[in-house]
Amino acid sequence: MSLWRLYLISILVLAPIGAFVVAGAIALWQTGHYFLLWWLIPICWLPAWLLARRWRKHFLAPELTGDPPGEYWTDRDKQAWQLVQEAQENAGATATERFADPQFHLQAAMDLGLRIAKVYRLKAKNPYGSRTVIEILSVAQLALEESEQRIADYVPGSYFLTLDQWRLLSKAPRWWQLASNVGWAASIAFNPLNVTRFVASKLALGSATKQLQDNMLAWAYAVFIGRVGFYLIEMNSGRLRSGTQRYKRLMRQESTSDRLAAGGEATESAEPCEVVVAVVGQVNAGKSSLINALIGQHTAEADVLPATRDVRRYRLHQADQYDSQWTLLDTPGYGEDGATSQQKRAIQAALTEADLVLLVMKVNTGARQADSLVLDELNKLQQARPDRKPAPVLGVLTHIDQLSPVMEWAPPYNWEMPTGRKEEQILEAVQYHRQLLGPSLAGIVPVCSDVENQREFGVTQWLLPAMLQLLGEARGCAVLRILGQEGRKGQTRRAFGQLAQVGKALLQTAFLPDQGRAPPHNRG
Amino acid sequence: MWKRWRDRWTGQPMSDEEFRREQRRILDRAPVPLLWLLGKTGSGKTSIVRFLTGADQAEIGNGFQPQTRTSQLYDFPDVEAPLVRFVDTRGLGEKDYDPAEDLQQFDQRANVIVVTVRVMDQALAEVIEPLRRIRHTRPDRPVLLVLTCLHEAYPQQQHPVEDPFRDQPIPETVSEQLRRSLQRQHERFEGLVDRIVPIDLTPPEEGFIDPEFGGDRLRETLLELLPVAYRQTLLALEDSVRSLHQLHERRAMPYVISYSAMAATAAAVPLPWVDIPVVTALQAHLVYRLGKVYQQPIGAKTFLEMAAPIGGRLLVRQAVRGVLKFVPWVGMAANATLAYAYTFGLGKACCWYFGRLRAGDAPTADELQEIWQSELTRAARYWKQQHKSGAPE
Ligand SMILES: Nc1nc2c(ncn2[C@@H]2O[C@H](COP(=O)(O)OP(=O)(O)OP(=O)(O)O)[C@@H](O)[C@H]2O)c(=O)[nH]1
Ligand SMILES: Nc1nc2c(ncn2[C@@H]2O[C@H](COP(=O)(O)OP(=O)(O)OP(=O)(O)O)[C@@H](O)[C@H]2O)c(=O)[nH]1
Ligand SMILES: [Mg+2]
Ligand SMILES: [Mg+2]
Repeated sequence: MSLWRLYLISILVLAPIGAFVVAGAIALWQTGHYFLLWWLIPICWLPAWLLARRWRKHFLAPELTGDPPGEYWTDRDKQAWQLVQEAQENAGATATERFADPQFHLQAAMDLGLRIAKVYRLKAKNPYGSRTVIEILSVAQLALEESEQRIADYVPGSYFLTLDQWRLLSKAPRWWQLASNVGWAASIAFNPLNVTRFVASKLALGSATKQLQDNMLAWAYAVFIGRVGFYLIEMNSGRLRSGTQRYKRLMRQESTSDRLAAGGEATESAEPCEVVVAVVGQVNAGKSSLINALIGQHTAEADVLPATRDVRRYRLHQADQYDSQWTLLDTPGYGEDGATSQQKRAIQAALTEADLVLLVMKVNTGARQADSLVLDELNKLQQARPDRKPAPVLGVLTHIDQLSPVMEWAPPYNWEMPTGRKEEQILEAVQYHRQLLGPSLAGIVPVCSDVENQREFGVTQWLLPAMLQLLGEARGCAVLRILGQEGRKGQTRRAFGQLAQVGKALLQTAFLPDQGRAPPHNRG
Repeated sequence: MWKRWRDRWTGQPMSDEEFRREQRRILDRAPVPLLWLLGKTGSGKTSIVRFLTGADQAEIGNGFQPQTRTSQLYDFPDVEAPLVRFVDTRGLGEKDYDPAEDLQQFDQRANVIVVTVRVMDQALAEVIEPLRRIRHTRPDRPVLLVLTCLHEAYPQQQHPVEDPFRDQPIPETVSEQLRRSLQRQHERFEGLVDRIVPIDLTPPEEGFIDPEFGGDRLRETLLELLPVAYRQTLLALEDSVRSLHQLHERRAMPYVISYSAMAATAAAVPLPWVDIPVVTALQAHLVYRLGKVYQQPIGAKTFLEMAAPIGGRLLVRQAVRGVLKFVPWVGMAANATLAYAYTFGLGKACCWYFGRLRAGDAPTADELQEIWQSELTRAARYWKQQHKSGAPE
């Protein structure tokens, strides 16, 4: 059955009921009972509004600001987001009529795009020039999809809203405004006060409806600008390079992990994203021992002499329950005399890959020059790629068993509230390192990682919780790293694919002239 | 200049200021060895200085925080009469410290280099690199590697009762971990150092029965390494202190040796008698110093009491200020041997005398005379014995 037939049947069915309604209304009016029954409206609508508010929490709070920036956003992203917020705020000062003009939306989006692009590539003349078509389409697709979703969520009946009606909203005569707003007023309700006032004033308060209407249009505009801005940022930071599909999948995880970090439970099982933890430190600091303590196995080679010579990867299964896949990178120690350049490169590669860095330091040596230099280097690496978020660095002080009094080792020690000399020394060492390296570290955790003699302490008690606390941030880094890697990889792969296509076509035209020239559908 | 000669010939005592100038001149000539301690922060440089000199002002760190923030010069036993000097440099590898300037400054002056390394420390690029350069400029200068913090190889255990390092550089009795680390350090410093001494000077409050584990080996090795010219005075010190158990005497001996050596240097000039005022001034200073060590106030009375039996003449010149008011003409030193012997004998006799005073009884003049005589002969014999191999007088 086609649509018009359905409409026809519906009209035939509903027409008598409509006639009754009109006739009833007229009858009520004439008998003077109209005003009595009028109270039904507030009596029903008020509980309806309350219930709706109760059942759909976000129903009443369509956020104008849109999503707060993700945990993974870099400082540059946040800077760009401020531009978006400014644009949203300007919506309030724009004449209502303009919102109804699709050109206006398009122009605003273009303007915003230019301004955001400036944040990312200050000198570029044509900011879109270096973007792939896929990226720009992705922005459009994602932004529109989500604006649509928002409007559908918050404005029931918006499916039937035509552009003409939209336009009417801005310049229609009052009666039409009223009539069209009445239906929405009940359910839009993002300004519930208006609803009650609307009702109480017996359809007589022009200013209220005007405000409602203004809100409606401005809000829709702000939603649109917010979404466009958001994805423009995502595009400019290179995260859309691998297309919308992949982006969406990873973002779903990101939001799950945010919830997890906030103490929620994992509901949907997303494909876990790999968080890379680089364990770096001076030679013999106890990196391999620490990894063994973390994974609960004697897998990594630990020795009194320099042992680790190249980067090794280990899975941290304890993190699986947090729905993330952690990989620990054991690296060769630095500071040894005659370290090869290969070792140095290995450390650098690990630092480049890392989403979280554990800087392992032997507590009973004050020589921190080498560690400080590595932190500087990490900093430089991160400055060189603003499209990725700086990985947080967690300082780990090992060998706390050798702090004064050296003859004593009887854990547990509660160093945060020291009572004995050992605890005081641990606290002092932590404070000293905080003061020395503080600004570059997300935290400092003291441990004894002497797994070989079963003397470890603090790894599960302090280190793991500290790492989990950085889970959200580390995952943010991971998402950016993965998107960046895939984007680059994908681009080359696709480029090669296209080259191959071109090559094939050339071959065909050159060597197989018949087939080459004749379009397939012309043959046969 | 003329005044100086005139004063000398007329036997005028020197003023304090004159004495100081003279003393500086002697010190410039006197062979005072400079030991340079070099190593990463927390490797135990200051602990070694403290162990060797007993200097209380040498502050030892807690291990995790750099303690010695500027390079320090320690004179042993003190600035005025040094027997040996230590440079305790700021720790290598400390954050934001560029050692280049310090390294250059001390490189030129040091006679012996003592490199400190924690025995289990493998992150030694910061030590090896400068050491390699230093060694290259003067390969003949002795370098001693001290491997500290042995206890880190055997956590929560005491040091071995029997010192296993006396017989073998890498003993078989120690744990395998320690042995392997020792082995690696030997390989690493091959050609860069002349001797290797493992010690542990972790202070007694950490609960170690022996807070100076390997300390005597360290002293012996240092003496062996010192160039001959510098060795004499320190050997004398070793010798004279070995049999002493009394704390004050142990403290006093470095002064006695040091002033005696200075007197010898002062008198070692071709013209006899010229430096008698200097020698006597040195002796006066020695007596004064010893009085401080024994916490016995020195006044004219004490000097008179002492000078008579010792047989010298006492010049009391009211016109001259300070210690030099009381210059006992003890040593009629004509040459280095006599200057040394007289000063040494005087010092020993003073120690004995002050020791008795401290104990509460005043020795008789006869007793003092006797001690003085025997110390004098011993000192002369000692000097001859040390210098018969033709070492400079
Ligand atoms: N006492 C004590 N010993 C420790 C501690 N952590 C590690 N060790 C020991 O220190 C030595 C070095 O440990 P490793 O884990 O091999 O150190 P690393 O940092 O991996 O060393 P490289 O890989 O060579 O750079 C081993 O003998 C460990 O048993 C600790 O917290 N306390
Ligand atoms: N010298 C020495 N110190 C030890 C040894 N074992 C432990 N220590 C401890 O090592 C720590 C550092 O000693 P310091 O003598 O202050 O080290 P340093 O080389 O002077 O260090 P900075 O002054 O910081 O450059 C102290 O806590 C000592 O108690 C040892 O065998 N020898
Ligand atoms: Mg390792
Ligand atoms: Mg020091």
